[in-house]
Amino acid sequence: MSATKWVLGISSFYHDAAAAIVRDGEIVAAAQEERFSRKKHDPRFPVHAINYCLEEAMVEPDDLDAVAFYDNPLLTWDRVVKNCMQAGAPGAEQFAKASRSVLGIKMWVADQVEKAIGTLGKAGKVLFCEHHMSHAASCFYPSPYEEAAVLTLDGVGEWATTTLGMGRGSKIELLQEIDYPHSLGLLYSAFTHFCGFKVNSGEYKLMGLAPYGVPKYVDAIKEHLIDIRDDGSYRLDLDYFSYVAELAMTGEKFANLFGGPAREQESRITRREMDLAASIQAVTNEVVLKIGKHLRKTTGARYLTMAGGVALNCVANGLLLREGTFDGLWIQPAAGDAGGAVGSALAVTHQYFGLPRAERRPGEDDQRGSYLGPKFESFEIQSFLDEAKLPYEHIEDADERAAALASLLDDGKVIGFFSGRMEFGPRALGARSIIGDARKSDTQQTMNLKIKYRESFRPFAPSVLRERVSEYFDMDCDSPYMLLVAPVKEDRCTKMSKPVQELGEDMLSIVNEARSDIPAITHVDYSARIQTVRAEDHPEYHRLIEAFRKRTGYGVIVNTSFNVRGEPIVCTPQDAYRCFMRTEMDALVLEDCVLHKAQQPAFQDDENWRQQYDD
Amino acid sequence: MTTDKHDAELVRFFNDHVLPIAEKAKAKGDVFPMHPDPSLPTYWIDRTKKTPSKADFEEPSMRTPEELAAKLAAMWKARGDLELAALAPQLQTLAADLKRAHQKQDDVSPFIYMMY
Repeated sequence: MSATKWVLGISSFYHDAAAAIVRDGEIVAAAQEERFSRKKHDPRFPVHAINYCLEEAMVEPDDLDAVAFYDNPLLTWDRVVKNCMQAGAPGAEQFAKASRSVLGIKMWVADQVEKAIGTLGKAGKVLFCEHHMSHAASCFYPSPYEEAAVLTLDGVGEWATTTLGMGRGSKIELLQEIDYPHSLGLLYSAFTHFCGFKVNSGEYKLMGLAPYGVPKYVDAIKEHLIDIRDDGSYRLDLDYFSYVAELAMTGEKFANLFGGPAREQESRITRREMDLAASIQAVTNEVVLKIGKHLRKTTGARYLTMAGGVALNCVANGLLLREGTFDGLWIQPAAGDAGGAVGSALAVTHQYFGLPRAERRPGEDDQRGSYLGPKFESFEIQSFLDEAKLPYEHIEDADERAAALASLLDDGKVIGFFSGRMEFGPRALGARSIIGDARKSDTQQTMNLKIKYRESFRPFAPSVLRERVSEYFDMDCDSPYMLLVAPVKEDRCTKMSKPVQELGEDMLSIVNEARSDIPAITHVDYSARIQTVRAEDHPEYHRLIEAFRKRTGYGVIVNTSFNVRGEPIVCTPQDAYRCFMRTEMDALVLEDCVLHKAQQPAFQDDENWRQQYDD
Repeated sequence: MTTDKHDAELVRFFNDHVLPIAEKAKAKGDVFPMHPDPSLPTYWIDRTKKTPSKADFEEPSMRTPEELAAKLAAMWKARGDLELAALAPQLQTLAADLKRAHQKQDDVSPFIYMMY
C-alpha cells in the first residue's frame, strides 16, 4: 500500500486567504484566493484556490489524508475575550463585532471545508496548526537547510506576535515568544496608518518611503513607544496605541508625539511622513538585528529561516544578511498569512503524520521558485485570442522570441510578461510581471504613473541574471524571491544634486534625479530590491534577460507585478489582456504569443475599474 | 435574528457577564501587560510547549456549539480562568445563533477583522 500523504492546507478569514496542497512534504500547488476572485487581499474561505490545488494535483477530495488550517480559533477567541476585558466598558462594541466574526464564522472551519469539497478527507476532521507554527513550518521545511533557526514576526497570531525556534530535520521547536498586544508588526502598521496608508497593504509603501526621510524620530519612538532590550525582546507602551480599546491603530497621544494628526489618505506626503517612515524602519532594523544575534547565540544555528508579514521587510532582511550573523538566510516568499496554507500542510505532514523531510540538496530549496500557481498552455491562449479576434504574433522559437522582446525593451517599450505557473506570494517573479528597461531614466515615472497608476515615489525592483548579480549590486548570493535589498555598486552610482533628504517634498523631482546607470531600479538611497534569476527556475525569463544583455550589455531589467494599483496580480490570459488594454503598456507576451498595443482593436471597458480596485 | 438584534444581545452579554469578570480582574492589575517593565531582564517568554502533539492538532476541531462550549470550558479551566469557563453555556447559545445567521449568508461576512 502506498504511504503517500496528501494534505490540503488552508489559510483564511484574516487577509490573503490561500490554499496549498502537499504530497509527502512536497509542495505541489499553492495560490491566493485573490487571484481568482479578483478582490485584493481577499480574506474569504478560498474555495477557488482549493479547487485549483486539487485540479493541479489531480487529487479527489476523498483522497486527501488531511485538511489543515493555519491557526487555532479557540486560542484566538481567548485573546479576543481578554482584549475586550482589558478594554473594559468600551470593549462591548469590539466584543460584539469580534463575536460575530469568531463565533459566527471562524470556529466553523470544518463546515466551510465540507461545503467546499464535500468531505474532510480521510482524517474525518480538520487539523489545526498554531498560527506561528504555520509560519515556522512555511519557512523551515522548504528551506535548503537541514538545521536552522526560525524567526516568525507578524501582527498577531492567536497570542504570539514574535516567535523564536529551531528546526532540525522534520522537527521544529518554538522556544520563546512575545505575545499580543506587544507586536513589531502592529507597531509598523500603526505608522503605516499614521502616514496615511492602509494597514495590511501599505506597509510596503512605508518601507519604500523610508529612504526619502531622516530617522529623526527614532529617539522619540524608543523613549515613548517601544522598549527594546539587547536580546531583541521588546515591549510597547499601549498608552500610545488604540487597538486594544477600539478599532483604530493610533490615538491622540501618538499624534501629539509626532506633531499633529495622522496624514489623510491620498493627501500630499510631507517631510514628516518621510521622516517617520525612515524612523520606524530604523527601529525595525534594530529589533530584527538584535533578535538575529540573540537567536544565533541561543541556538548556535548557522542558518536562519523567516516568515510572518514582517519578514517581507526586505530592507531589514538585507541588513540582517549583510551583518553576517548567520551564514545563510531563507525567507518564505509568501511570508504573510497566505504562506500559512503551505506551513500548516507541511506541519501536519511532518509533525502529525511523522513523515521525514526529504534530504536537502545544497543551495536548493523546495519552493520551486514559488511558481506554484496555474499555468496556461499556448493552445489555450491562442484559442482565447482567436475567439476574441485579437491580433497577435506567434513566435514559437524561444530564442527568436527572447531576441524580439529584448529589442522591444531596448526601444523603451514596457511589456506585460505572462509566462509559466503563477507566483505564490505577493511578489511577481517573471511569471506575471510587467518589465521595462532599467537603464532609461523615465522608466520609473512612466511605469508608476501611466501603467501602475500608483504613487510616484515607489521604487521598482530589478530582475538580474544570478550569474551577474555582483556586477550590479553589492551582493553575490541567491535572492530569487525579491526579499533582499542590497546597494547598487558604487561605481555605477551618480551623485544626486543634493542628499535626498535636502531635496524638499516634491517627490517627482526627487525620483527624476539620476542616480546610477540603472536609474529605474536604483532607489533614492542607492539600494535595490533584488530578484536573481536562474535558468533552472524560469528558463523563459532567464533567456529574455540574457537576450537583453547580449543586445545591450546589461543583464538586468525592471520587474514589477502585472496589475494596476489595488488590483490583484493577473492570473489568467484574460486578466492579463484586460490589464494590458487598460494601461499604457506597449506589448503583451502570453507564453509564445506577442501582442502589440498599436494593433489591438478598441477595448470596450464597461467596468469602473479604477474604483473597483480599492488600494 | 437581525444584525442589530445580534449586536444588542452581544453587547448586553458583554456588559452583564464579561465586564464584571473584567472589572474584578482589573482591580488586581491589567489583564495583560500594557507597558514596558524595567524590572524584567527580558521580554521573551519561554514556551512550555515547544512542539505540538497530535492532540494539539485535533483539539480545535469541532462541528457543534455544544462541542465549542465544552472546549472553551476546558481551555479556560486549564488556564485558571474559572469565571470565563462558567460562561461557556451562554456562549454556546450565542455561537449557535451566530453560526445559523452566517449559514444563511452566501457572500463574505463583513465581520471579518484582522485583529480577530
